[in-house]
Amino acid sequence: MSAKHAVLGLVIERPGYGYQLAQRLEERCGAWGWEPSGVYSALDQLEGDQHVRRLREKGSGTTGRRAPRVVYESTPRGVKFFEDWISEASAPSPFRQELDLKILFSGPEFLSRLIDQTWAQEQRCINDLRVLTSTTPSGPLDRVSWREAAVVLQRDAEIKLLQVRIEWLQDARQTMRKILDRSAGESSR
Amino acid sequence: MAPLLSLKGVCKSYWRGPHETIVLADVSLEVHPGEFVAVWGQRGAGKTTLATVAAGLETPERGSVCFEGRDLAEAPSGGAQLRHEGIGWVQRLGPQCGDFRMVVDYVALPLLGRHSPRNARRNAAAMLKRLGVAGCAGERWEGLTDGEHTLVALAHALVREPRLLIADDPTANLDVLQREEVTGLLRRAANEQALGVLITVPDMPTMAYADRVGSLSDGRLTLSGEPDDGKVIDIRGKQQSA
Repeated sequence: MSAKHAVLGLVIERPGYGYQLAQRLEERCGAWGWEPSGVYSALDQLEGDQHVRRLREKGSGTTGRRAPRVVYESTPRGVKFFEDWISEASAPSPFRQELDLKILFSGPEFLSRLIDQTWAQEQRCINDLRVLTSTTPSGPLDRVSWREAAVVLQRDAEIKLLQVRIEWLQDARQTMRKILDRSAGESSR
Repeated sequence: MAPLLSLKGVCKSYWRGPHETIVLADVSLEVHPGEFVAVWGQRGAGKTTLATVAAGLETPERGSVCFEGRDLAEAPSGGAQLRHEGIGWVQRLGPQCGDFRMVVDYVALPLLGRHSPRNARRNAAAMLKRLGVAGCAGERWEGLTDGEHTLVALAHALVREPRLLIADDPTANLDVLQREEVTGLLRRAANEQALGVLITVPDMPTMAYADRVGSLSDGRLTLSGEPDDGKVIDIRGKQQSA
């Protein structure tokens, strides 16, 4: 998923220049892992589609030592595009994993190795989870803003994605172990 | 810094007839002052067993559980004094005995040994206020909502100002914002009062604000910060591509 819609949403909230928008994007949805360079390509694309336009050039300075910063603002067309995007149905993300393919195509002789793989991937998920939970609580919730609540909901969505994956890894491991145990029982008889 | 809580090689199993179910198999875990540790597990994974063993309410078959360096199993009276002085256990079921006319009296109960009844009630009322349920002080436990039960149970555990707080599913029955309030409060208590916190949860978003997170499965605890084998792929790779 490109950063296009997120960058447009930020520009609609308030105009900004590229570096500023990259910082705001990182603050708002760092967990999505978009590169700062993605902001500039998104701005190029949005400008080409006339969803944003150059408001002014800022900070060229009297010394002229720095290149001017281009401040972008949204266009009515961009606002309409964003509103349509908000309203349309969202397809769930594709969820295809290399490990899933390995499980699908491997024979029973690989079960022990695949069980090890589930442990390794669970460890990786738990380490990823730690990154998502290293956030700072917002203030007293009787004063929580929609913006703060939205950040919580976005973080929850990311965490739930990992939870579903870990649950599946544990279920897969349990199933593989049962089949492995059954095979061991049959061969010893 | 020495750990507040240290579980080393803890094993625990249950027997149902001739069948043994291993719930904890060689589980090791430390919680330091000011550290917030959250452990997730699916239903039946052993979360409650882990919490009760860590709180000294159950004894492991093998391994040790130490609070501030002292083995709970070897301490006098099974560590009851140690537990009472230093560990706050969140009892979500509410009063297990006694008839409390008012919630504030139940919350004040752990203070009665060292405070006058009046001071104990005053401190209890302050703790209820801190958790945003001051309005429950004059109510009966039975009259509270599920969310209020959880918050009052936390107040009951925190009112003694324990050095370690242990809770099994402390945000049960809370909505997202209430859950954020409770986990944010635990985070702040860890930061500001060096409270060690260990919680077990059935839902991973409750782990937000934890310093370390783990999952419990097949009796084994997988904790954040451990290396994986480096061969696995990032499950969010699809989303991360710009």
